[in-house]
Amino acid sequence: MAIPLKWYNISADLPRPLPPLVDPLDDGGSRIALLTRILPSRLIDEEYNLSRYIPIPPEVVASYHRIGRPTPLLRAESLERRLGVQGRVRIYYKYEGALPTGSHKINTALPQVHYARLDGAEEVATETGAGQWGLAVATAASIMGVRAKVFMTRSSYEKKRARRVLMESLGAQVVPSPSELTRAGRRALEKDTRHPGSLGLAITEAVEHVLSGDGRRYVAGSVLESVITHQTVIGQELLDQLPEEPDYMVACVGGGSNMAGFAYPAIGLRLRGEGFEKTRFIAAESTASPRLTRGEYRYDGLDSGLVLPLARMYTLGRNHVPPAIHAAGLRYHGAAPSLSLLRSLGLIEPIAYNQEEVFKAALLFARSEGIVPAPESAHAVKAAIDIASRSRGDTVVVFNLSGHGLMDFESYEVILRNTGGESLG
Amino acid sequence: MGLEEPGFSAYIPLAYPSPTRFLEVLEALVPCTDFFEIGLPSQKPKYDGPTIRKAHIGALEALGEAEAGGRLLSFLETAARILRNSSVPYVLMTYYSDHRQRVTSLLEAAGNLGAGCVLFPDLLFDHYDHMQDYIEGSREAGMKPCFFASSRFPHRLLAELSRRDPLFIYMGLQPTTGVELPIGVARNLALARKLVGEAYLLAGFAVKRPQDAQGLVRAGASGVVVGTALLERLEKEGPSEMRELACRLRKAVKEASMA
Repeated sequence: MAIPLKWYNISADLPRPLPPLVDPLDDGGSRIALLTRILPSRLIDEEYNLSRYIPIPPEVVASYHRIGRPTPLLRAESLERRLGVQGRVRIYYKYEGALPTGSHKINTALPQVHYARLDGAEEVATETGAGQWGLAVATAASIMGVRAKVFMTRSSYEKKRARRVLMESLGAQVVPSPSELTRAGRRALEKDTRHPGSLGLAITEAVEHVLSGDGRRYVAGSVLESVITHQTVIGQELLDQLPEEPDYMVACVGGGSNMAGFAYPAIGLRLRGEGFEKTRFIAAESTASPRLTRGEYRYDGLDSGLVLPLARMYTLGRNHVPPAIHAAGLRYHGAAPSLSLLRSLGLIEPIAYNQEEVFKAALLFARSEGIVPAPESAHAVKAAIDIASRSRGDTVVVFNLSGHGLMDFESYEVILRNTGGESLG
Repeated sequence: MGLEEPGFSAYIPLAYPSPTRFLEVLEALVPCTDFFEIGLPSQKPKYDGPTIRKAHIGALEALGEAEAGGRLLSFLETAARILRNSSVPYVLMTYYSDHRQRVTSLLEAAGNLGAGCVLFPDLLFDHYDHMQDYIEGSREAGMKPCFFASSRFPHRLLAELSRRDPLFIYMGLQPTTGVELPIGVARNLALARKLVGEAYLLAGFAVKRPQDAQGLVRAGASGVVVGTALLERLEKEGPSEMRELACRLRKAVKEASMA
C-alpha cells in the first residue's frame, strides 16, 4: 500500500463553515498578525487553504517512508475471544504505535519542522504533555538538524521520565512547565509553587520563548486545522486497508488531531454522500478534561496566556488546570475547531471515561493483543471494548491505537500496584 | 443594482474619522471608486484588524457612543444622499451579532436608503441557521443578498451561495482585515472562482498595493475591495493622498482585464 501524497482538508466538505480564528479585541494589537513570527510560513498557508486536498511535499513523503509508514491495520481477534464476541463482532485497530516515536505525533512533527527549516529557523519550540508530541518534535528536529526546546507539563516532567530522557538523548532541551524562563511561567509559579502545569500554559510558554528571540519557530502538537490535516495520512491509509465498512470508528481526543486524522477521511466520504453512512464516530476523552462532553461551544483562547488567537471550540476554559492524570496528552482545555463543529452537529459523539476504567481496559487489551497501549490511546480501547461488549448483532468496530505505552511504565507500575495486578477477565 | 466588473471598492466605516470628515472623504473618493462598502461601526468588529478596529472605535466616539445606534442611521441617510447624487453604488457591511434583534428593520432601512445589499460577515459562521431569513429579508427590502466566505470554506456551500443570485460573494483572503499572512490567496481565489461560476466574486482583506489588486483580478476576482490601506493613508497623509492611492488601485484593477 502506498503512502498518501495529499492531506485531506475537511473544511472543504463541512456542512457549514468553520468559524475562523479571531483576535481577542482586548487591545490594539493582533494575535493573528503575530502568527507570522510564531508559526512556520508554510503552516500558515495550510491553515488558510481552500483546497480539499493539500499536496504533501516530497521531502515529507520521503520522511514518512523513512519512519515506516504506512502503519498496519490489525484485527484484534484475541480481544474478540476474550470478550466472548467472536463471530459476531469484528474489532480492528490502526496501530500508530508502530512508528519509531511510538505515536501518531510524528506525522505532523516532520512537516512542521521541515517548514520551520524552510523559514531559516535554527530552533523549534513546543509544549508537551505526556511527551509523545515532544518526542516526535525532538526526533524530527534531530533528523532535520535544528534545535528543539520542549516545555513539558511539570506533572509529566516528573512522572514520564522515559520520554524526557529520550527527548534529551535526541538533543532536545526539556523544560518543566511552568518554568522560570517565561513571564507566563513565572506568573503561574507565583500563584502556586507546585503548579502541575497544563498544556494551555505550556503552549503560552513555548510561544513566548519563540517571540523572545530570532531564528525560532513554534510547532503545534494539535488543535490547529493545518496540524490535524497532517494527521489525515492515518485515515487515508485506513480507507485502503479496511476490509469492510465499520459501524463504529473510535479514537481518543486531547486537542483532536488523533481523532481527526483517523476519522476525517471517512467523515469526508460521508459528508459527500460517498460512503460510511451507517458509521458512528466516537470520541473518547478523559473525565479529567471533558471538553467535548461537558465543555461549552464558544470562542476561547488556544493557550492560557492568550498569546495566540481565539478559536471557536468546545472548551473548559483556557485556565482549566486538570488533575495530573496518567493520560497527560488529554489534559487540554479545548478541542480543534472542526472537531468541535462536527460535535455540535452530532457527527462526532463524545464519551468520557475515568482513569481507573481506562486502565482496566488497557490491561485487558495488553493481555489479549500483546500491546500495552499509551494511557491516552487506552481511552479508545475502553470505548471499543464497551461498544463490542454491548453489541447485539453483527458489528464492526475500528479504533485508532494512537500510541504504545512502553514509555509509560511508571503509570502502569502505579496502576498494577494499586490493583495488585489483578486478572481482568 | 449591478456592480462594475472588474470593479474597485473602497471600504470606510461610517462617520470615520468624524461625521463631517467622512462626508469629505466620501466625496474625495467618488471619482476613483466603482462602489463603496460602508461599514457600520461596531463595538466588536471581530474579523477586523487593528487599523479598522481603531476606526470603528473612533467613529463611535465621534458620534457619541451612547446614542450611536440612532445617530448612525440618521447619518447614513446623509451619506446615502450624497452617494445617490454621485451615482456611485454602495453596500453596507455590519456584524449580524450587533443586529440580531432588529435585522429586519435594518434591512428595510438599508433598502430604503438605496444600499445594494447588507453584508454580514459573521452570518454564515455564527448564525448559519438565519441564512434563509436573511435572504428573504434582503429581497423583501428590494436588495439582493451578499455573502462572506473565508479561505477555509465548504465547497458545496460556496456553489450553493452562487445559485442564490447574490449581488456578490465576498472572499476574505486573509483571516483579518489589514493583516497580511503568507497565504496563497491567488490559489484560493482561483478555486473559489471555479466553485462560484459566474457569480460576482469580491476579494478583500489586506489588499494594499495596486499590483496585488491586479493579481487578484487575474486570479478570478470580479472586484477588489480595499479598506485598511486607504484608512492608513488617510491617517498618515490626508484625503488627497488617500484618493491618489484609490485611483491607482482602481486603475490597476481595470487594467487587469486588458492584460
